[in-house]
Amino acid sequence: MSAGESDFRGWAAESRADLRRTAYLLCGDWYLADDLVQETLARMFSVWDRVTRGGPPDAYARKVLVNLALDHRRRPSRREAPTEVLPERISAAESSYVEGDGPAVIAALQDVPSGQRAVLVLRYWEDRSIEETARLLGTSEGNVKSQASRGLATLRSALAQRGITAELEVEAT
Amino acid sequence: MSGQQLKDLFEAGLAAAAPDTVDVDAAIAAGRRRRRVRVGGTLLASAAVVVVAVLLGTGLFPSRGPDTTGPADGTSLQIPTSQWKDGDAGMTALAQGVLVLRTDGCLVLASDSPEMVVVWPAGFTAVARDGGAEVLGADGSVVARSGEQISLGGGESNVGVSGPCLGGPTPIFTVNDAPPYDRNVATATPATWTPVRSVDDLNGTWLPTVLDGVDVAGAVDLRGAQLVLVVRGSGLSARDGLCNYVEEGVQVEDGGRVVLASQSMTAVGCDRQRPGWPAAGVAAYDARSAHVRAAGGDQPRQLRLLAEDGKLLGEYVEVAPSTWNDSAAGALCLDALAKAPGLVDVTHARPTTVEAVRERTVGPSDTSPAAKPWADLDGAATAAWCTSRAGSTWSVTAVTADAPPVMFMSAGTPLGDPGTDGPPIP
Repeated sequence: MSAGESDFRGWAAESRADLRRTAYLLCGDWYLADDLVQETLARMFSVWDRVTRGGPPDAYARKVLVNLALDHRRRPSRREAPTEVLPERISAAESSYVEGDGPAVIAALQDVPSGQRAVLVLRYWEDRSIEETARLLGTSEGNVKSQASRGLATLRSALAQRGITAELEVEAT
Repeated sequence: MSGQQLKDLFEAGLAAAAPDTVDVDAAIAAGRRRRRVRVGGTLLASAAVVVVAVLLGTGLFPSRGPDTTGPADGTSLQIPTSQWKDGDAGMTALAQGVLVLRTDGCLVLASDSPEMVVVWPAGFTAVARDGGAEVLGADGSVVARSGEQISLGGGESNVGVSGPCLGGPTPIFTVNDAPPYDRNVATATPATWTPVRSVDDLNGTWLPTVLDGVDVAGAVDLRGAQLVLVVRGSGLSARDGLCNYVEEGVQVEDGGRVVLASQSMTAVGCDRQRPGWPAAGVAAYDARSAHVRAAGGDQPRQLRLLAEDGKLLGEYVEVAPSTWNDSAAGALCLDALAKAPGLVDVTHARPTTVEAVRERTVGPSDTSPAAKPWADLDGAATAAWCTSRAGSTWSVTAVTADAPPVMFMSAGTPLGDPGTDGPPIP
């Protein structure tokens, strides 16, 4: 095993859990999240030497992950899949819906447009600054602010529809 | 609410994490392939095409022409043999099946059980004949031909065996039985593998049975979905809960080269591990030719993907995606749900209208799955209620021709007829 591969394995072991959580918040599906992380790791490994020469690889990994998540949602066949959010249920015993606020939060988050959701996840889950979020998403700081503001409003509404009241008046700008 | 409170909210959403199925080894393997593709792939990048590629063609399958399905008659074929000869003590198990000359040049015994490479007694040889193989005994007489139904005595011993076709995933059967063998030409199945020459040869719904030497028939993901390879028209997709987004154009070039639209797809299996799945379930990147075998008897049509050296990478059987097709609603369901992940079996279908579906859709218009683009359709347009099963999950879904399906309910137990008014609201 080369030194580079050894380094990569160490980094992957440390980072995979965080990457999975971020991926899940972005896509709302653990299986797809694992796919996104797997692909992120593959891409990271393919450019590992180059990326690590430029500094810690975490930011680049986030950029790859977010782009994969956004790209996945843009794929035409993604639109062909049945919705994962079920508008009706037959009964608690038979339904695949899981009770509790957690799934409702994730479902509400999926109601937020993907670009706004990426901003919310990077800003408020990963605690990244506006400047850093803008850099990762390849957009302007002003756009990050406006996306965060709109995303919070959408999330608030989506949560309310699921019986979860949240002010969500965080420092969006 | 503060940023921390929002973070806590996200934390709640992450509370019930599914098991981590990320496979770092597979990621590294995929990363290596990316490196190779980048290094050697200028042509790939500029053409943005070829992945599963190259030719039919080692010695057994030259690349073109109707007379190129095998070597010239009389050409010597290499077969594995043992040191057993007539008069030696031997194993007495009985193996019966059709003797098949695979595209990799191996003679195997095919039956309802997994096929077996036949290891012949000492001194036996084989020659090409009529696109197949003739097995000659130690005295030079013909003792068997490919395509024949045959019974052989022996056992699964590899002691003293040598020759090609050994050491792979296919089990062996060592013949400890002297000719003449019980052969039945009249009931023989042609069982001929033919090279894929056009996309029409690939059209169908395929389930993998063997990938990288691992028996994956029946292997499902954590949601009970099998991987399904679907070729329709000029598109190929691999569908299950993990890689349903893979959908690529596919064409077959002159000479049999199968070309996919990008390098990101996997024609053999998902690029990751699942229970019962190969540790590195990626063979498509190495696949170089495809062959099909026509259905015969109880055997469905089969598809094989082979590496350039003839190694069997993946084997598939064709399945009918559904048998429910006795009305326009059923056809609409089949067509719409054929694009859904996994193998979907439509069990009930009822005609309805877009407007009726919209009326049954709960939730605010800006968040309902049906709001867009169903909201923009003509309310009188034809739609259908479909009850379907994918793996162990049953669903009732509304479909129409010009909008994505909308799932109304899902359950782990059978769901019946949705009725003309659609599923009941609890």
